[in-house]
Amino acid sequence: MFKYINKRLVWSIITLGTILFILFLLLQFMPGTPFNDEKLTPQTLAIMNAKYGLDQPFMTRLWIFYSNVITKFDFGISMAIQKNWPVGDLVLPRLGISVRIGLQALLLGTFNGILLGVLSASKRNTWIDTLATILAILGVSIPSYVFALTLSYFLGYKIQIFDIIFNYKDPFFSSLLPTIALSMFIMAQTTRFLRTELIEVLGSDYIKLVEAKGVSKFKIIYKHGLRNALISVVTILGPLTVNLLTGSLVVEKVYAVPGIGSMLVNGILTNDYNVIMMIAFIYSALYIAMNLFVDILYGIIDPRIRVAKGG
Amino acid sequence: MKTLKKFIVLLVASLVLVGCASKAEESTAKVLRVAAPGDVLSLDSSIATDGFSFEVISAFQEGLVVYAADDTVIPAVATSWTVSEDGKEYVFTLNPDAKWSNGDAVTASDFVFAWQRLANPATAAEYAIMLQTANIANAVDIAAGTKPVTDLGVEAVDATTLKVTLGAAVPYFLQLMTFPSFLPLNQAFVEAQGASYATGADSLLSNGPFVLTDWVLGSTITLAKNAEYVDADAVQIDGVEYLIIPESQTIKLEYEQGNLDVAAMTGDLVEAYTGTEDFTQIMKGYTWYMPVNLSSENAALANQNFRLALAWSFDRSFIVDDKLNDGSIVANGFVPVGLSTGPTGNDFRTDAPTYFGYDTAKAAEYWTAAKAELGVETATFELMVGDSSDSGLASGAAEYLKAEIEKNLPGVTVNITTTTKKDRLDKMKLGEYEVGLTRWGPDYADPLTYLFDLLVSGNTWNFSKWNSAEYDALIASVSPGGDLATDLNTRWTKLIEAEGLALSQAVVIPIWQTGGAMIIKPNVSGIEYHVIGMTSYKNAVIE
Amino acid sequence: MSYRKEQFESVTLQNTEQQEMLASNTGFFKDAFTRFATNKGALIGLIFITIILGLALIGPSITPHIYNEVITTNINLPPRIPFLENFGIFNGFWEGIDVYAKKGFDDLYYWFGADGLGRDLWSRVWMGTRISFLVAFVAVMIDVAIGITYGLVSGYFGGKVDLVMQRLVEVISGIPNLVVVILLVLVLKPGLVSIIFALMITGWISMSRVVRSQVLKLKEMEYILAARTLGASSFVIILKEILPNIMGQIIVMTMFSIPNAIFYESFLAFVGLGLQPPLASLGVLISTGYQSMLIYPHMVIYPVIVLSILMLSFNLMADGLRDAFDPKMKGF
Repeated sequence: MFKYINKRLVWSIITLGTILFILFLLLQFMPGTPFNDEKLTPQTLAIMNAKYGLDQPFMTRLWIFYSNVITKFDFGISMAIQKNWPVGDLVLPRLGISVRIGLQALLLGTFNGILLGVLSASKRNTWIDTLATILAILGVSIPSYVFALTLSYFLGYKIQIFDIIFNYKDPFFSSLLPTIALSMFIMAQTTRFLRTELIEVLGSDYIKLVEAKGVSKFKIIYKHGLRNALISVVTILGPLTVNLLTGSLVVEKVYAVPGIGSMLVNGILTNDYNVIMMIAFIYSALYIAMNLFVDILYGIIDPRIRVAKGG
Repeated sequence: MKTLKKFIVLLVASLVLVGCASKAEESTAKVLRVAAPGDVLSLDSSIATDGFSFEVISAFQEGLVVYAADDTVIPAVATSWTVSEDGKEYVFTLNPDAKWSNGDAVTASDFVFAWQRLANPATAAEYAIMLQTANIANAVDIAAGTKPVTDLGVEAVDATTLKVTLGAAVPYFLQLMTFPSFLPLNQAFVEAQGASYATGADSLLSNGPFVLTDWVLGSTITLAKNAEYVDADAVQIDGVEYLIIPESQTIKLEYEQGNLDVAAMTGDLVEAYTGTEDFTQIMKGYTWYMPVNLSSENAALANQNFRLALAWSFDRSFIVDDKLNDGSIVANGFVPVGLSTGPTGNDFRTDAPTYFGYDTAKAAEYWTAAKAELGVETATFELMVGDSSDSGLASGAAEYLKAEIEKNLPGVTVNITTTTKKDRLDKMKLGEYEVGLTRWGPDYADPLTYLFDLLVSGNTWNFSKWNSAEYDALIASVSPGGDLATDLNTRWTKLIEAEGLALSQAVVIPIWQTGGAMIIKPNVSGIEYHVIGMTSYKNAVIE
Repeated sequence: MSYRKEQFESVTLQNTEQQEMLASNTGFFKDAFTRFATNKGALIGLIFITIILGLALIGPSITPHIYNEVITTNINLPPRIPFLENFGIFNGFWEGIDVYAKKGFDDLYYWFGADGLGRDLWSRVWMGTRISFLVAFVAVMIDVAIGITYGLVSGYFGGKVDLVMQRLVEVISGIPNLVVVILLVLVLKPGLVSIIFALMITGWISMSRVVRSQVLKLKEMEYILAARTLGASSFVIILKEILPNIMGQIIVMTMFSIPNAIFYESFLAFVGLGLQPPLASLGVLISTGYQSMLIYPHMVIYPVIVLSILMLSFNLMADGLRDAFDPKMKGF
């Protein structure tokens, strides 16, 4: 096991390095500059490029970038979003907020999803199943921004239970609406997946044996069925978690959450290279870590699976 | 199951209670709450380039002069000034009582420091170019690196006397002095802060009506009344708080709930407020226009009659009244209303004629003439617009333009391509487009900010790639250093002539001038909006 | 305690009964068809899909309005349907005012209302549905062609193959989508081809991950070992033993990738890569209508309803298909 994890860690570093290289390369071709293009003259551009080292050859800049990241975890300074600020100071506070809301959404969504999925599977083809299915489908068919604004309107404005916008002075309470909005998609996917898996698991032979032994339905589902069905759920939760943690642009916009998702999009639209690199790095690292975690989890949940073995 | 239900009830109950508790605090301070769609990009007056950053900076810093509510230039830190006969030397007398928020006096050297910092290529200030626009002596050479920063034509004669030397007379020099890049900076403080200058409340000094007390990135910017401000008695509110909310419908909800006092509304959302007492219409100095790329390979675009046909073929009022609905007005010419008042005492747009309008017969006539000259029956061109994050509702206007042009000029096909702002600007600068839809924001209160920057051959923002020696000569004569620069009356006439020359050839087709639909709580008054210049909250009153 | 044989009822069919059943073998597809036809949910789904498809084809022609005609006097009109308006719904009222009466339009009817340029939303919704059908089809094709194959290969062969293939996925996922799309705008002409291209870049990744995890689970099963021992090639094993057993999850993932693709397409339109106006897909209609949602809800509600019904129907039908083709459900 440890040998495997070590191997994966080494590969993770290689992958991250590759991603940063490709991204760095791609950013060269993005149209425009990080500066105020509406008012930029060629003379001013020359001065700006000199100051930020953008006039140096590609390999030099790449080398400087890599060495700063590796030695100091320093991604440079922002050229557009907050001029001259170290990128870490901009990204890390936002990461904290996004992760927090993302985790909340994950918990809420998974919890609801599991509940609905179990209900759906155990009461298959009854009205409960249909209702849960409809709920899940709506969860993906209605785009998150429509749902988010509807929530804002009804639960924040008409019936004033929740805060309409995120407020850093009251982070938990004002993060509830964004949490609910974000959790819908997770809930929808978890419900459907779990339902499918559980139905298959519940139809298998060893469940019949357990049933014959006289174990209660409840215990069958939770103790025996769920454990095996969860692995599929974990598979989809992995990448979804990363998406959640790195923030959903639309939900952040509607609720004025200063999150990392909107900063990435802003960074891309304003050509703030260093911000883009740092956030992409964080996102990739999380994604890779999540994949590794899920792969290891397979082996633990289901001893029959050995990811490392060849076919 | 039962325990689960109990748990859920408890959870919901606790949430509601927490909610009630957090709404308990109400304050009695008179703080103006303003909605902002995005954060500031910098609070360093030498570095900032966007309107919102300038607005916030102007709240806590004050320069030589400011705009009064009626758009005239009035004394601020400078109490009086003299101009030499040739217009090349200004001497400002500063208010000896002007102070920084740390008690230091505001002196002439603060201005010298700030301007030299702006000029210094090491600072890499994007608006260092304003020094050249103001024609400050040696600004061009300092930017090129051939002269030291200390050669800049600004000198602190003594603590309260500032002498500015220009390379040529600039008729709009005083208006330029209101521009935030020229704000003073406390040298000792700024140098002590080093790289962390302007990163928060502790790293900024104020000499203006307000002082920055808190800045939570991406969330809020809080300003409080500056007790050290020389004119503090005139400030009647306790502070200003900006709430950063990117989604306009969320802004509406917050405003309705009473959490905001001032907000800008756009598009269909404006409908809900037109005619109510919350609604205030303001004028801004941006003109939205279509540059026509004369250097493209599309023969139709090179034909003047075709361009004129386009200019008359659509109803600008519809765009303004029904699509934008935010106080924008039809652009009767290229230079916007309220930008510049001439020696006649009138606004440029009043003295200049109205160009273009909605006349389908005229448009058809031009189109027929164009068809004959080109020898074609049809024409196609590509209209390049920005996406909604770039151009907001302007991208919707494009669809209307296409429909109208195709309807009123049968045989013409318009293909709309949408792209990102950076890409659009890039392509327009490189001349890799056919017809665009873009806006221009004025930098100073003189028609040259439009007529020079956008139409003189070879300029970066001459997207039409128009080359007219006649036009260039006209503009040269009225620019600083030109022979008519100081003859204000003739100059004014020539400026009107120049605009006429460009528009008679329809190298650019002006469409509308941006307005703003502001919703302001009825108990708030005294906020000063300007066509050019920063919004001022100094004289705001909350009843 | 003693038990007698008669007290027990067999749960599964006895050998003799099974043999009797074999005599009435109706063939796999007929079997599946019967199962599908008796599944109520699946039938409802199929019916609705047919209705929506039909409306998508003939809907725009039913009303006198044209989908791309800009009528500046008709902007933002709320929905008004003849006959139904007598019941107090769809009567052209907005915020308590009869907008049609106010403007003097007595004989004008916009069934779904009009959008910001006076274009008929009924026609636009059905035109948009056509495009969304197409986008959905493309998304499914990509999922199937690339996603499933990738996941099957990566999961089944494991080891070095899996290691490299998954790292490749990580690299592709690590590059922000928006960057790639913006760069694509520089090289591709906006339109259907560019949408397909953009979808091809990341649209298949979730599907491949799910397929891979399912394959990993099934790989160690005895029947796979048995098939291998019998000499079946990897290709045959993957296709005949593994694939049918993971159809359930595949169908669920496919159903999720459709709305994702539809919304991704509207995101592409926003950046300039997708369809250009006046063409509009359901996704674009929704994102445009959203911007006036609080004032003119009719602009966003109808496309959302159509999309939701479409998705529900697809799901019900897909569930039915999955049940119908499930090899474990032989017999009832």
